[in-house]
Parts: sequence; structure tokens; C-alpha cells
Amino acid sequence: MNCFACEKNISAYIDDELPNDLRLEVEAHLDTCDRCREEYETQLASWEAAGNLRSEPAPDDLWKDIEAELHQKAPDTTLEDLALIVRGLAGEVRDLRRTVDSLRQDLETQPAGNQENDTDRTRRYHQLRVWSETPSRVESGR
Amino acid sequence: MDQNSSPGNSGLNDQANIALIAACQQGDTQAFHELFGIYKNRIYALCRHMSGNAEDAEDLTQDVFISAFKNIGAFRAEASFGTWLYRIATNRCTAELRKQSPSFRSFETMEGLDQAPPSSHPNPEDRLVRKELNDRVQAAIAALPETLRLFFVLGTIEGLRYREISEIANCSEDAVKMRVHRARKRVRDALKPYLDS
Repeated sequence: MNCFACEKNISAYIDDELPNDLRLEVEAHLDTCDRCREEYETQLASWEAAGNLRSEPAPDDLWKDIEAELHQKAPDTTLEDLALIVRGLAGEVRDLRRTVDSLRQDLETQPAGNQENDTDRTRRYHQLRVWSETPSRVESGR
Repeated sequence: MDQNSSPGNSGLNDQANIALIAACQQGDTQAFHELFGIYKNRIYALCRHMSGNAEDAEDLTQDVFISAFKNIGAFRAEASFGTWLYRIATNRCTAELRKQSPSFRSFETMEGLDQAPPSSHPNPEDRLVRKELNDRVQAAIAALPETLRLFFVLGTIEGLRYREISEIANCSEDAVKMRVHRARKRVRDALKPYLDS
């Protein structure tokens, strides 16, 4: 190992992040190279200085403010709420389909040519099919 | 450094927190209070070192936990909760560093960075020496670009493993190794005159 490779690995060596073979190479180089040894010792000293840097603990009153925010901003929609919403939407869809089916049946039983021409009736029929709950059943019954 | 945090013992494994997390996902603020108790000092320390002052650190810490609670429904156990929380915190801190005025970047103890190291301490008080060293380290950290600062804080002060940092910062372990090394060299350079003395 040369000095360049050793220097590049010194931080990881200090952090004990090197694989065993590389760690041994670094150690062997440090044993024989004064310059790299000095570099290692300086880095180690600054690492220890930084590692000893003590941050004061979080202030005690932090939670009070957070809790106030949580109660303000807590999600309005719980799982139960979501279930209710989904059920409600499903009900609305069912009602809508019933209305559509009813309208379509009215349209089909209406005598042709009375109030609308055939083209309009066909167009409306195709639009309503989109909402039909059982289009295949209706079609097969025609 | 947090008392539970040291290189090689980051404490981010939190299988025991699964029940708490599940309760939080149901909107249980009391359970979240417990998670807050577990992680508050670590997150505050990260914010403190990233922002450089206590006031911003408090605001950031609050933002991080509020954001975590609001988004905890999206948390999946693929990552540990600690890693997930750190990710929120680092994103929040770096975003704030980018948008804030230079005052945000100035550390409370920044004065003295460019001064010569102390000439001598005939009868040095250990506490005084330690405080001076801490001030210099903080000033050196403040002088780091935001990305390197993040890697320095996570790798050196928070004592996280490179694998954990790579998950938090979403980069490879090799990239972590390189950035931690770069950051540490800069801090080393800033401290060298003082350490030599």
C-alpha cells in the first residue's frame, strides 16, 4: 500500500469500517511510514475532539409545542372515516346505476320517432351504457 | 454526542418500536410521544449541529417530528424507523440550509475560527480548554459545505455506521466513505493548529 491509498482509508480505518484485509494493509503501512502515522494521529485527535462534542439534550418544552401542532394537524380522516367514505361512495354509485338503468329502460320502451330521432336515441343509449351495472344482461335481453 | 450514540452503536434498530409505530399510524399521539422520547435527543443533536444554533434546532426538531407524525402512515418497515426519521431530519436540515440567509449558517460559537490557537495555558482549567476545543470544532463544522457537514455530523458526531448513513443519504457506502473522509480532512485542517499547540 502506498501513502495515497493509506491516506484515503484513514477515516474509514478510524471508524472501523474497513474490511479485514484492507485494515491490515493500512496498519502495516502506518507501522512503516512516519508521515502517514502523523496524518493518522492528527485525524484521530480531531475525530476524538468532534466525537466528544456534546450537544445539550433537547429542551423539555419541545413536546408541548409539537403536541399542540399534532392536535391541530392530526389527520381528520382516520381509517374508520375512510371506510365510511368508501361505503358512502359505493352507495352513491349504486344509486346512480339504478337511475341510469331506469332511464335506459324508459328509453328502450319509448316508441321510436315520437320525441327523438333514432340517432339521438342511439347516442344517449351508448352514453348510458357506461353507467350500466349489467350491460351484458340488458343487451342479451334486447 | 448522545449517550446512546457512539461509533458502532448507533441504536437505529428498533424492532421494539413496531407496536408504537402501528399505534401512531392509527393517530395515537401518546404512542408518538414515546417515540419522540426515544429519538428527540438524536434528532435535536443533528439539527443543532446542522443549523449551528439552538433556536433553529428547536424549530427544525419540531418540524421533523410533526412531519413524521403526519406521514407515519407512509412508513414501511423496509427501513428502520430511526433511519426514516433521520432521513426526514436530514432533508429538512439541508433544505433549510439552502434557503436560509447566511445567518442560519452562522454558528453561535463561530467567533474565533480564524484566530490563532491559544498560545499557552500555564494553569489551564480542563473545562475551559474543553469548551474552547468544542467551540473550534463547531466552528469548523459550520465552515463545511452543507453536504459534507451532513456526512461529518452523521459519521463523526452521531456515530452512525456507513451503511446507515448510506440509507439515510441514499447513496453508496463508498460515497459515504469518501465524503466522511473529505469532511473530516477539512475539520482536521481547521483544528490542526490548535491540536498541534
